Amino acid sequence: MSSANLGKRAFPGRHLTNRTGSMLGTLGRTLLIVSLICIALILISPTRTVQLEARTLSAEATLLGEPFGWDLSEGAICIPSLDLDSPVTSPCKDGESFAGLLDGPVRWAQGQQLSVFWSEDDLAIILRSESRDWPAGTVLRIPHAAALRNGALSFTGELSIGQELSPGATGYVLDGTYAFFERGLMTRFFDGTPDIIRKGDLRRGDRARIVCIENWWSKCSHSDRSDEKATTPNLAFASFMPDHAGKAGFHIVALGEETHSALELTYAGRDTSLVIKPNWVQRTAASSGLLALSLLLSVTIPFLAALFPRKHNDPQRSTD
Amino acid sequence: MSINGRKLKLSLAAVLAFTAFGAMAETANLAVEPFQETVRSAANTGGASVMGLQMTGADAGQDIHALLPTDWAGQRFCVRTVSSDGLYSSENTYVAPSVPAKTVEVPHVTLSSHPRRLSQLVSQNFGIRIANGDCTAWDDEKPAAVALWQSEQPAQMLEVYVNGFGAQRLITIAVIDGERMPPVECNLIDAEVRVAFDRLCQVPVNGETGAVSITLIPFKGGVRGRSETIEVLIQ
Repeated sequence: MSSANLGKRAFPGRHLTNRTGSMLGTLGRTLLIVSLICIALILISPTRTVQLEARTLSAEATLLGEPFGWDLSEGAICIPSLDLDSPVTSPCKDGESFAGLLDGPVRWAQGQQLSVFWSEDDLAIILRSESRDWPAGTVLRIPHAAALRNGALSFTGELSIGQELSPGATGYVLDGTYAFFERGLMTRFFDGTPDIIRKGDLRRGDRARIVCIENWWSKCSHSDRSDEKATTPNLAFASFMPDHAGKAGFHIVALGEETHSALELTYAGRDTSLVIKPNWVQRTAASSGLLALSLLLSVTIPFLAALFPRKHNDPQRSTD
Repeated sequence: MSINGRKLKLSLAAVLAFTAFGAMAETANLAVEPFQETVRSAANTGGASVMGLQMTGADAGQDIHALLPTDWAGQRFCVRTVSSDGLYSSENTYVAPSVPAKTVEVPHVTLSSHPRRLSQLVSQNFGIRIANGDCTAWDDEKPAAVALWQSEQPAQMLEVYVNGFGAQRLITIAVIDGERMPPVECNLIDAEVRVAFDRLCQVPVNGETGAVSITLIPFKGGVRGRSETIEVLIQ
């Protein structure tokens, strides 16, 4: 038996007419185009957000929402003093004059700049700008036990975690994690949940900020473009919390506003900061939408292929 | 032209020539060739405490000017500079003019290979220290002279640029002509990156000249650190 006859017997009646071949080609091309559009819709994400969790010895915040009340009960108000010869009044420290104890929430005005420092004695909130009641440089010293009772200190604003590790630095980050969340156009259309595209660790000494990188399709919400900087601080929804296990430092949890966000790490001595953001490879690897599409295609394509007769290029078969 | 008119013209020319000559500052000369400067991509994060001793300028000028004590005339002196981000630094020995002058022009930008970079640095981003003698014999304990950056005429405020080494607060007490001045709070400099120095202490000197003693008192975590005293010679 010739091989041509064997072929005929093995695939009886499965010869491809010109019309069927044309349909198969059109369907294949349509499927390819639809797949590419789906991949693009899944992978294109105009905005993203960054979530940070860190244990640090210091942080800086600029409060950009109003009103914000922080429960700082039992905290001591310590006004900076230039009278270096006066005796120290506890719980205030050297170079400070005691101005009373706080007995309830403190309401901050919009734009208030604060630094928070952890020490073995207390949690110190330093006013970097003048407030309604106290001058710049005032220190609110909250005993650790009172800080635990008072609870989280939450705000919306700009956040910078830790100090750069320059000589003598005491307010550095101890440890932490970050995660980038994205929702592609397809996910947004179906109102799906965001994917974690990239995650990593904050290391001791990283000075971390959530920043916004402005481009033509995504504007930063409160950037000052007059200085032509590559990045601007991104609005963050953040909370400071004491450590319940009594470990050194305090905790920060922050979620950046959804925009073209990135994580900026700065190191003392470097002329440029390290800007971390996900790339398309990480987006592809982490995308649940792309995984779903792959599964769908892997099931659909063999099924569609089985519906149509296979094309044989052997001229002998096609002429039989 | 009448004789009176010619006399008037001659007098005017003489006055103009004298004024122009008087306005020209004496210039120091580079003593050791070549000009020494370094631009790094990553800063040296160490360094001394006081990184700049300058006077606020009363006018806009070019380059560095020094207020050298009269007895430094004809002597060698060392000029150290550093940018606040720690990426630019220089150290050069000059010879002071033999004739004492109120301000002495110190050619720096003109000798530098990075004039554009330097011209972009404002006073708060550029620390200058001047000490008597060669740079090889630099001693932080020696009395220092005061510099002017991009200005030729000093104003009334002495500016001390300090590396606070992580201090949360820094206070300066000046002793001028034996009189203890009120303490002054030092503020963070206006710069994105603060590596070489981070604080500016502004001490009003109100036209006083002579030796000024400046004591820096750092506070970290509410605890007073070891104070440091420097001697400044104001011309």
